[in-house]
Amino acid sequence: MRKKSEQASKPPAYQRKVYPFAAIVGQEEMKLALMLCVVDPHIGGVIVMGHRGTGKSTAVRALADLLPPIAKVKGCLYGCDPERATEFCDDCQARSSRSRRLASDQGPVPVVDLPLGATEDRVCGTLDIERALVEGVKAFEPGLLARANRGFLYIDEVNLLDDHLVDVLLDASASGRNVVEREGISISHPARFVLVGSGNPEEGELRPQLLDRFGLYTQIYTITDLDQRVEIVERRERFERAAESFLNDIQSEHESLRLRIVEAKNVHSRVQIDRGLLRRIAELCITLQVDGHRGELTISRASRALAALEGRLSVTVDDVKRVATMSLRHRLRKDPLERVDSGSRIEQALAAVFPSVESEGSLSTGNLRVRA
Amino acid sequence: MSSTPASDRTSSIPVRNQGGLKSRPSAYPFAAIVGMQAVKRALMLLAVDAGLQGTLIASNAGADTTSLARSFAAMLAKVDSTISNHENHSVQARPAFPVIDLPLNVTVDRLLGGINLERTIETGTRQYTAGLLAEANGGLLVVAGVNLLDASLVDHVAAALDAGVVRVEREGASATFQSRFRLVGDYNPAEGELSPHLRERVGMIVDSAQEDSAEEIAEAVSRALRFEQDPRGFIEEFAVETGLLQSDIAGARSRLGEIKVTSGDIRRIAEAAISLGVEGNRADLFAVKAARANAALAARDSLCDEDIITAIQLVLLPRATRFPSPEEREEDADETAAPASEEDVRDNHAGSGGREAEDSNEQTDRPIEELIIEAMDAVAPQEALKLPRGKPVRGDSGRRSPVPDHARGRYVSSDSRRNKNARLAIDTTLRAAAPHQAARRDRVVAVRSAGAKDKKIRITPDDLRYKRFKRKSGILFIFAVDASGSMALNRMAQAKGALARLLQQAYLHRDKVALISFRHSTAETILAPTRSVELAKRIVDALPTGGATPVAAALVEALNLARLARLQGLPRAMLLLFTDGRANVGLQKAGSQKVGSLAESRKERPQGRESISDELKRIGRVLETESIAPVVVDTRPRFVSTGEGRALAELIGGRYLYLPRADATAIYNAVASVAEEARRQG
Repeated sequence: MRKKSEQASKPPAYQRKVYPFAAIVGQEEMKLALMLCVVDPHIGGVIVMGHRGTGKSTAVRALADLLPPIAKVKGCLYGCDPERATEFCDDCQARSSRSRRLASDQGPVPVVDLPLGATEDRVCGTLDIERALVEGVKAFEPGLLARANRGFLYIDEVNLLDDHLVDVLLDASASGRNVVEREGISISHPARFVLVGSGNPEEGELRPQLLDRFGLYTQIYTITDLDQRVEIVERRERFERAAESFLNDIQSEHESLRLRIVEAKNVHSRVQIDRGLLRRIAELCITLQVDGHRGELTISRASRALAALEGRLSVTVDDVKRVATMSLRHRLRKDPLERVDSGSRIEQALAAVFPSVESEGSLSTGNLRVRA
Repeated sequence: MSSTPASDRTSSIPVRNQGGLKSRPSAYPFAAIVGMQAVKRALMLLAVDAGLQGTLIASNAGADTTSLARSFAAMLAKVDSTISNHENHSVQARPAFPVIDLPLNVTVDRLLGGINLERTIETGTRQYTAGLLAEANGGLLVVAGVNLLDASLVDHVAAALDAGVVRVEREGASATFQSRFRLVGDYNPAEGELSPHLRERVGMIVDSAQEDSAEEIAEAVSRALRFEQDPRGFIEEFAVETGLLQSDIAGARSRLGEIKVTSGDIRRIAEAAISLGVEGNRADLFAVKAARANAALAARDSLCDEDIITAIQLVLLPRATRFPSPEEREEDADETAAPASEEDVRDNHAGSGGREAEDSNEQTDRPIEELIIEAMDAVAPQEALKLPRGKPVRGDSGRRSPVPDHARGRYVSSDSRRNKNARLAIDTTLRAAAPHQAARRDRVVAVRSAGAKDKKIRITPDDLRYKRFKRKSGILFIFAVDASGSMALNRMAQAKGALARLLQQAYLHRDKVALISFRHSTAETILAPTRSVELAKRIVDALPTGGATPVAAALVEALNLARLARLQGLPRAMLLLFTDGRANVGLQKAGSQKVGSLAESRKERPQGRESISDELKRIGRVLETESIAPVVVDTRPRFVSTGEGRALAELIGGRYLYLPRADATAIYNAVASVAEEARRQG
């Protein structure tokens, strides 16, 4: 009997060169939002809504290469953090009570793509058929949520996601755990992940509860600047025709961006935010009648992450201004046929709360722009 | 379960493909096709550069673009199986160039691939089968009627085009298959719009509509007849032309890498894209590729205006959201030299590939507007230049039937009851069988006292589980607003308000809304069925109002919308008719081709009040048979109401909601409760 047949057995994982994040032209708001979430995963993820073909998925998929590796418990299905015993999965907990220190190794931060049409059993995980059949063992086969633990879960066309999957995601992202009760399997495992979603608003609305889960909301438009558009085509062409040399050319930019993120991740917990500034942030949210406190929290976290990215240890008014719109855009109460964009309402409120400083307003990500 | 050796089984895919190729030796030769220059050009470009991803062909009911696509497939298969054999050395036992026909009733698991039940059971380890998207890897995927493909399936095709792989995470399967293919599809725009995802991800979209001369038509017919009588002879007859085309393609491919595309060229293309309001950056890339492929076909080593015009025509114009204004066009058109005429196109097309690039087309750097206008002139004006949104689509009742209704929707659970059309749920069947394997094996071993080596899974009928589907089918709410008379503005505001609130809930129920306005003698779809608040926001606030009240025309428009929506998987519709009920224009006067399906039942007769009410009754019956529930919403203040609204409701067999002086919220509440009722019944 053949163990593996060429076509029919599990196909080899298909490796494809990824277009580098550092080579993405324009779309500064989106890039900034993604980087902030990398620096501080507690921000709670990003949703990118906008025109088709503007580089949303390209940016998210390029993210993986920017992430510094993390320590994982060796052999753990969920990649538990050896330093955080409180967040261990059942297996690691049992093992750690037996031995003092769990062996660990370095591994990449997972960036898991939730493909179109994924079914619940694969998302949550279920009974491992193979082991059940061959060994007669009732074993759990982890799903995508397990794979995404401590990493990113990317959902393209997030506004078209099936309702039942939305429920699953909401449960998991609220509790940080995935609870599976199916097919005679009863298990719960850690599932902390940063949600990243993208979609085109013309294809439908996002369920409010799900929208609320995203820390930052960025809008993305077709670039109308001729130079940038030419550059996009030129870079893409070079990448397609000679990926190696293109990647070589961009290597130093890529590396400096990576280091900047590593550095920011290191210092970010030490970034201070002034109490007076916190008050002003609260004022801003009150002015805009944002429900709950998620608005303030997100702005504070995002502005700290931004300060860290810029290599500062204290948050400035400008940091707050740069992250306010993306932190609040989806939290305003809105009349569905309201013509005024939420963005401009936030701008107005910002101008009212932070009147003194001249508004810079730009969303430049510093040295992110690369000259080929 | 059969115990046939596995070896034959797994090869079922290649065999099928090869069979497909062999059974089609007598495809009509591509080289013999008369006319349809733009379509042929778009396909040739695709043949030259696979990076162009695909060509979609808009065609009317009459045009046989499907067999055109097959001719192309057959030709390309020949080119590619001779060219790329040595490139694809890794592929074994598969044809170098698979051509996969995607049937509209394909199921998701067949499309994407999944667990191979037989092999899994035989071997005891999980085995996978590739789906059609993976089978098409390295080849061509042909879809006839691509706009009728179920929305979720189209999205998978679009995703595979984009990523070059198919990722399956469903029903116990977790796999990634390579899936790089070129797509050729045709669609009849009257039957519904193209999926925006697909539209975005193919290089070229062309309209097959054309004005062929009588001469050309005669030639086409005579060739078709000759082909019918003697396919082999006919193919033989065109062998030389076919050979030339193939060597054109091969030559162009080898030249492709050497063609210089300057920043200036890219700039001009990007400029054209911006001035046409093309969304996103993919189109720019496609346009550059198309221009380059065009130059390669013409054996040039750099781009000239003609290449850019072709790229604008085939790639950018179909995605335009705005066009140069007519005046601009007129003015410039006078100065413009002869448009990229058919001669040009045919010239490089049939030419032996060595056409020297020395003629007048060489001069470059004409202003991009001129090129856009030239490209627009080269395109048949009807479909391809239609702005994608804003205009209603209307259709006949569907010449092709989409996926059968059983077993559609989402596979939610499974159980052991078998019903009609039941499909086996592989994952749960295996799971049900799993716990008993040890015991069953022991039993067999005991009986046979043979070696317990075999890993075969023993499945008994009790283990079988069948899929249960749940289809969240929403309702299409069609708001038909009477824009005649003095209260029209009021009604429009009320309808818009109710519509907006309905949309906020639409996500939950998978509903869609549409808005029709009717006055004078016509009804017009202002908002095609949508779920998007963004689009609804764009409804114009101030519509022209006043004039007569063509209720019947509005009903027919609604009927058309509902039929189209049904083709796209939205089976139920509710019609909300905002009017005072004074229907005073019949269809005859509203006279348009829209009434097609009702035409038989309409006899010539005087258009008095009497016949209008007959007409309404008749349409009412049609609405009923197509399960479209009409509701007449009457918001006139009590003292003016004359009961005409109620009378209208009776005529068309609908419900009557009398909501005097109601605001949008009150109307929404009333509508929502009627909808809730409908949902419960459905």
